[in-house]
Amino acid sequence: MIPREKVEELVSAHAKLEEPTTGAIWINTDAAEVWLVEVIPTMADDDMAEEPTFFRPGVGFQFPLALIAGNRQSIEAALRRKPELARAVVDGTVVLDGGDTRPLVDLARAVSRAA
Amino acid sequence: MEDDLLKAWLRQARADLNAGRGGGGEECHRRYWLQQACEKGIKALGLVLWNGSPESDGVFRGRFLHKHSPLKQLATELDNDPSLPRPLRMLLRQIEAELYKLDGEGLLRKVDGTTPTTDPTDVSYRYPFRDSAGRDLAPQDWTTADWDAYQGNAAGVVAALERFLRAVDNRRQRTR
Repeated sequence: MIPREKVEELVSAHAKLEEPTTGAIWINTDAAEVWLVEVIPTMADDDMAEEPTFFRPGVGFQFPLALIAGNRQSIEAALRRKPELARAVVDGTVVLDGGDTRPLVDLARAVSRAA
Repeated sequence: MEDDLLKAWLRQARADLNAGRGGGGEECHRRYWLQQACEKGIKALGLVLWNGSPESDGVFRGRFLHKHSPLKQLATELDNDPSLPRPLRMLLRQIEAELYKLDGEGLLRKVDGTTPTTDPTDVSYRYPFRDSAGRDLAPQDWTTADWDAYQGNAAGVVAALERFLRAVDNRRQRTR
């Protein structure tokens, strides 16, 4: 089990980047990797936002990472396309909420119910 | 094989760092080797993190591994070409996040931005350039204070590079 504070530390670093992460949900929390859904408003629209980018364990952040990232619209569309992602978001843990994370969780809940 | 490549980048980064902190040459030469050590260390970190598909490995090498000032260069290329694969954009962010943790003072990021250049209006470690007052200078004309302002304090850069390269190598050894 990856400690929550390690995940918070990583998200906090992402939130301080020049193009910051403004929302983050830790999903699949029992997985060996840290699975994060991140809202990055400066990203261009992406119709495959649900596809994770994988990283090996780093130097400061010593765990593998699976990152699902996009602007809010792209993440919303991904949740609608992929109910299993929506379920994972509902079961996940909000790590950062700059205002658009809770609405994403609400949407994920609605998608899960409808699926 | 992968570990051998990573070790080779780290070995060369250390050799560059040793040249940069040695007593030989002018300060401009030592500063150039410090920049080179930083560049190779960042590339080693990129190799540590990268887990892209075999199809995207070519882009990783062409747009990151074989470029000067890899962070600055990759940021520019991503701005100019939105069609580049998303893993490259995420890689840039992940390296920056790692550096944020390892190098809170931002020295390594500062050094990464000081690309060797042949543009006569840009500061260069290697070629004459025109300074902000319009004077034509050779890099060896610059004082320690000039280099400190441009690249960062030399002792601080050496210490940051030592910590950085050691951390990347420790990570390599833990997971090989």
